[in-house]
Amino acid sequence: MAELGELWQPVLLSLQLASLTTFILLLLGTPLAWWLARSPSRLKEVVAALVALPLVLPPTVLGFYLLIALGPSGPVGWTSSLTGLRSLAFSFTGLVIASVIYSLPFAVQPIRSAFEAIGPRPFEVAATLRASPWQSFWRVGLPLARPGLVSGAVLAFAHTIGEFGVVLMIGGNIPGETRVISVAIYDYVETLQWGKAHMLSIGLLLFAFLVILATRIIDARAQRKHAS
Amino acid sequence: MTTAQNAPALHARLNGQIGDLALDVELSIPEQGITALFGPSGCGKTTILRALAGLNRLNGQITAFGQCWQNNKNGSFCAPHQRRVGYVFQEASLFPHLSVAQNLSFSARYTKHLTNTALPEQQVIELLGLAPLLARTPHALSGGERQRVAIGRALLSAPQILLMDEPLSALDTQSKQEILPFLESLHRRLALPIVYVSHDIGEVTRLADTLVCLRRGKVLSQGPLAQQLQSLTPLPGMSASQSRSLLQGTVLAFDEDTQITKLAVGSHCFEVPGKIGPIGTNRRLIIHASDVSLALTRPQGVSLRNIISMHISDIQELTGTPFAQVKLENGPLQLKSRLTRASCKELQLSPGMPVFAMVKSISFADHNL
Repeated sequence: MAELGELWQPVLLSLQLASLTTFILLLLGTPLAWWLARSPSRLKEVVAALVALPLVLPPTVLGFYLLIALGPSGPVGWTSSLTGLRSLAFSFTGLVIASVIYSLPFAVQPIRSAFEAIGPRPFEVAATLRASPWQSFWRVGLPLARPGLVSGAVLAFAHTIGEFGVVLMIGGNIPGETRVISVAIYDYVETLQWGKAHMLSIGLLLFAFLVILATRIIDARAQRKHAS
Repeated sequence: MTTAQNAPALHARLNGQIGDLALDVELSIPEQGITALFGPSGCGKTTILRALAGLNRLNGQITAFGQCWQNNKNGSFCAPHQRRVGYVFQEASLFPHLSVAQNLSFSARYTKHLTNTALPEQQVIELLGLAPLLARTPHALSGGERQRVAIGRALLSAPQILLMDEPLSALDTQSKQEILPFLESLHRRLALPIVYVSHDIGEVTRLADTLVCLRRGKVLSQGPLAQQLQSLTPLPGMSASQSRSLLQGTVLAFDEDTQITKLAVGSHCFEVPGKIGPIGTNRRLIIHASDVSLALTRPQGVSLRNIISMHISDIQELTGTPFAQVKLENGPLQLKSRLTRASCKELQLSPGMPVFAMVKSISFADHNL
């Protein structure tokens, strides 16, 4: 039983981290994606490049700089005094911040594409029907971009579950605090506990398969709706 | 006849460079009736309409219903949702995630405090025949049905003016024929000014009261339609062969036996086959110049029923073509005739000459001028 508890702890922690990250990403990423899709500003390609950076950057590089930024002497470090911690590095909060940055492109990209696919017309129609831009966003933009929002959320969630490099750099391996599934697997392999590594790995494998299957089904459904 | 001389509902001076087009127009939209923005494609019609709605921003000023919608001098610009316009796009553009009923009531929560709505919802639904469509989703509708819903949706947004951008051009002939009567009855039942963008002179002569002719971003002429159609020079975007006259007639009598309706146009009486409408109602008569032939003496033994004694007021030879156009008058009655230059020469037609106009066919629009 104790063994199962030991396995469950990283699973629960990963689920907690991914849910919280996805929630924050939808909150921050949706307005950002809206701005990227609709703004005529030239600055937006620069912002888009910054958002996409984690796609190509080695996770260790991102983790390294986040470690410095969130550490006690880093620019964000002083905020840790507010939470009473010595530093945000090696804490769950630090992990959440890192995950939000690391998974940002996975949430923003599909949502931005969905907003762009709507085109300007429905918003023009809404405006001539007396809806303010804010009301159009809620009543036209969000409902029409729903498939993009769903796949953005699914991808961000899945990606956060699977991250390793950034977590290792910034979170370390504190049980119940920063020891997520991927770190636990690494740890079990290092200490030759292959049975436990297997159980977690197979779980992740199944999870990844189900995620991809689900997004495909969502896409196909959206397309079918579009075609009819 | 609608008067453009009344205080206009909307006045706009707009200019700007859109691609290759240098646009510079001044428009007055009368308070009543349909004003057609007419001209060949690329002349800036849609750009002007979008600017009136605030969807495009051009330089200049727009005053509507005593309010300033745009003024470049002080930089004021009223956002589209703050202008009380109803807008019907070329494509119906219904919200795909909403049912027909939800599309129709989209603006309801923003217009609750507004009075002076064009028509109450029940009347719009009845007028446009939307009742059987309410529960459906937009993708289950035909093109014509979609456009009807779009018109209804615009009417329910408490507009002070309705802007329509070629609402029929994306439809096939059958759907067009299905919607035209709805537009005509809109015209009859609504006291709402309508701006109607079109490049189709057929639609324009059926619907419009005021005509604004545009070419390459400039207004060539604006004024009452019937008056502008009297000119022998074809309007821009209209070929000489499409030349026509617009008359207002009143139904006088209908003969059950012969099935012939008599219509009075001024002091003249026209006979047309079929039942046109209740006695005393006004009808818009459209007579194509190519349907009017001329004779020097009153023709005998012909099957044509409408032969009118008139005199020639003007002749225009269309050099380089086989044709000439002749303007005919008899008191307030004016007609145009299109004949070959060869017959013109043979008959030795000249201004002032008395002739007999033989009208081969007359078409109708469902409402009066």
